[in-house]
Amino acid sequence: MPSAAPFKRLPTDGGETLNIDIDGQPCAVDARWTVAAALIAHGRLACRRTADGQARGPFCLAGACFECRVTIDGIPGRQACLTPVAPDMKITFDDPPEDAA
Amino acid sequence: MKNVDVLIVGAGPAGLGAALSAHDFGLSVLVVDENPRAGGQIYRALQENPARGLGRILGADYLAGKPLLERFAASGVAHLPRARVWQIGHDNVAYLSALSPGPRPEPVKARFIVLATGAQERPFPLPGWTIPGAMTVGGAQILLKTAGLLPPDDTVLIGGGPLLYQFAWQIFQAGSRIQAIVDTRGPIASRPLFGHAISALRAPALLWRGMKLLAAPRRHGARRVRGAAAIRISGESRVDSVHYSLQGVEHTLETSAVLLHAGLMPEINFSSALGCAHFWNRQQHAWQAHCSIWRESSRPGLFIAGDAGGIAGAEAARLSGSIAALEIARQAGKIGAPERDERARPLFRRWRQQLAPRPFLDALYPPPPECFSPPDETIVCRCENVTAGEIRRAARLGASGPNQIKALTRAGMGPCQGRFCACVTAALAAQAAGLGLGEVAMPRGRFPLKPVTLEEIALSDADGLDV
Amino acid sequence: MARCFDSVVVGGGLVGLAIARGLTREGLRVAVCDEGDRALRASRGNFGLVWVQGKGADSPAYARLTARSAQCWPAFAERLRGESGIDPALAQPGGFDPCLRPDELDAKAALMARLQAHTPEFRYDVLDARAVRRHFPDIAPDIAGAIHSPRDGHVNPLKTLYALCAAFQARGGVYLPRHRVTDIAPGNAAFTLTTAAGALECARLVLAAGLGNAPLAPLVGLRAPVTPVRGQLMITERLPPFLPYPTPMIRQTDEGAVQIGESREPAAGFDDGTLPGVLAGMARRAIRLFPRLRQARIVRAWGALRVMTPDGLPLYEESRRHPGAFIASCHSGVTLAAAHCEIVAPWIAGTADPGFMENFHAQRRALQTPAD
Repeated sequence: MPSAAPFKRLPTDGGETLNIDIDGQPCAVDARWTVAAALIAHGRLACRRTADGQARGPFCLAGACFECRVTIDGIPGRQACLTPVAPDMKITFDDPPEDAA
Repeated sequence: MKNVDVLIVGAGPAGLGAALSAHDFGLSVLVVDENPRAGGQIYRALQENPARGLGRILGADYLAGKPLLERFAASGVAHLPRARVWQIGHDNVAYLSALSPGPRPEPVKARFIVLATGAQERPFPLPGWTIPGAMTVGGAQILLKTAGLLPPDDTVLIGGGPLLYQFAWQIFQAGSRIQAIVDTRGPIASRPLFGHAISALRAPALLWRGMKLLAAPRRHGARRVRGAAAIRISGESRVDSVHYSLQGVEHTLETSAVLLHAGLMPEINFSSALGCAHFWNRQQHAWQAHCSIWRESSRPGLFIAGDAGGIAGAEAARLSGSIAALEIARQAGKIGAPERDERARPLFRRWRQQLAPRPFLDALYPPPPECFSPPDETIVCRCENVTAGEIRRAARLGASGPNQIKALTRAGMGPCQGRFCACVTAALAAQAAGLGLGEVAMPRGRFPLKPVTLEEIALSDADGLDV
Repeated sequence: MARCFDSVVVGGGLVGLAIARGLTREGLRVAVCDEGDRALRASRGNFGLVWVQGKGADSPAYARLTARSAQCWPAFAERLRGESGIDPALAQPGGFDPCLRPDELDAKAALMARLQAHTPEFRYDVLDARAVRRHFPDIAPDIAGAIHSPRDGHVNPLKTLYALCAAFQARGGVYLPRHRVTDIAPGNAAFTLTTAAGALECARLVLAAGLGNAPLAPLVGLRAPVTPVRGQLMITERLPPFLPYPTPMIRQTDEGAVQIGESREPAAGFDDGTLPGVLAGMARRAIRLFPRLRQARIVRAWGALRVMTPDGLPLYEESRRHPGAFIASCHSGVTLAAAHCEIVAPWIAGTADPGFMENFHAQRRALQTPAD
């Protein structure tokens, strides 16, 4: 598979960043981002698998589609698009899908 | 239990318009919203967006929300962010769930409820639309607003409508590019369009901007593909291509992201679960709650303001919220009917101005026919992985609408509660029965409006778990 | 111009379709009239148990019908799957009825003893908490105990409905949605039905319209003393399997979702919605029994109306005034589906008489009101 082109970040206004942990990898993210934005910025577009094994990722980004469910600090099924990042937050995937990341 | 005069669900322009007006009449108001900041999707992150120059990129429509958000912040109206209403009882008690850690919000008993839950993007089920990397145009725009993230340079936009072209324009404003727009607009009937255009001329600024948006892709090197058929998306755990056929010739665009848009439709899960009367809006190809001119639904005391009651845009939403608040103030005994009417007159005038170009836009951008008739292999219900073929089989066997089809196939039974499939399922049922789109029953919404834990339900009317 | 069939079944739920499918096996040309998409449908809202324990404690005939249906279910499920390609997901591993308090357990044990007194083949055990936990490692340790019966089981009720609908049509049956029946005129040799989509004619008529039987039955000289008793249910997202056996209140479906429901609300009338207080009470009891359900996410709650006779027994009867017109009403459309297909349908077709159907006539004592 050709390597996927990334989502790009506009120059920031120099706000705070903080560190979170995505599946064991430390990532620096803007403190005002949602978990979904952090995942997408780090190339992690797939965040769960359906019962029959299909990869799924953020789709509507507006809290309606429930495709971006991840485990945040041990609590499964949280909507990444509605959850702001927080210092040292740990994001894991219930059934880790293979991903370009 | 907390008591308020007016509970407002949603902190977008409609909710804020209603909140500020109701507050002015001395009514106690609580605004509940899922997001950390007021503004709704249209003004997401307006007060604290993280990128430089985002205001210029997003344009005047976005910045227009600033005074409203400032007034709301200064008003002292109670605002409960990061919370959602998941159930409303017969007695107008609303049950709330917190999206952040911390104390469980109390149920709220309200004399009046305003649903200002806005719009959602119409589902656009194409083969492969479930592959990571495929998202909605509106979703990508939220990423831009809230995170300053732009889609990859090789992105393909599929669909049509004002939001799609507006977003493309915003990408260009940001100095970025996209690969192509596959515009799915079908042939349009020119006569009604001409009639609507006359009324749209009352809003010349909007028409002028529309022409500017349509011209932008070519100027920025993006391909614009018209008349594509058999569109599909491929990839394994990430989108890698879009395929379509043009006059019988297969084309493939390699891409890392696909953004879909098939128009907006009202969020009706609340009003449907509450048993409100609805009708099929032929112009907007969507179900919509019946409302009085004051935005009161068929359930007394329940008002529906803004796009949740019919797509009309941000300014119309704000005005309709204020209009609802006037009638609430009258029913609450704060003003009489003459004062309500007097105050409403200028609001209605501006509201009608906002509505004037709608029939033209609705006629110019009907939903792509593809979204109501996906090929058999397409997953329609994303939550439960039910394909169009499975839905067609149930419909052929006599399932006469989205509710029967849901029971037989599980389409619509997942956590999104049919938000991204029920209108397609209904369309497939209508086609199987030889009926029009609006001639089958509406999907029935259920509580909880979004999933909650069993513990939250257990504690909704008790302080402990004792049986 | 009326369309003609040998038999018309009014009602496209589990009861109507099971009988209709049985009638097609008798070589009859059968149509099923159903309402449209939005209708009161017990079949869309039920719990899915194939349940024997406690059924017919005061009616040997009902106990016998239930036991025979449970016995017929495996072959019935297999045939349905063969004819429709849809697996009703039958499992009959035995069922447990856990009780929190000793007096609950004692009352249920007494009911089982009464059932066994007239139906010795009914088997059950009364288990203490420790014995229950050997089967249900996740159940609360401090329950009083449970009644266990080895013949109980469950199916996926929606797949059963779908399989019946498909199997009926695969056998040449004609399913007519949007055909709400508004009038029935008995004639000399045939019944004429007025429906929302045209007239139908048939020699044999089966009323299996659930609560809709009440207004229809008198048109053909029958009586259907059925009233709605609401039940509310809720269901979780799919969870890894942890409930190996069904219980009357909580069961895990073949798809992994856990279904919770037990309310009985005769006062709800024809309102099939949900009530926050009822859902909250059910949720507390479910967590009390299975504490690990606390954080399970509920995706949907709904209400459905049971079709209830005053004594809780089914109603099967042929009209004396208008022979050829039958009624079938019950609230156990899942448990009795196999019996409806294999026993009741042949009885309606006149090819086999099980010999106990008079026990289910509306003339029975429990259904007589002083006004009669």
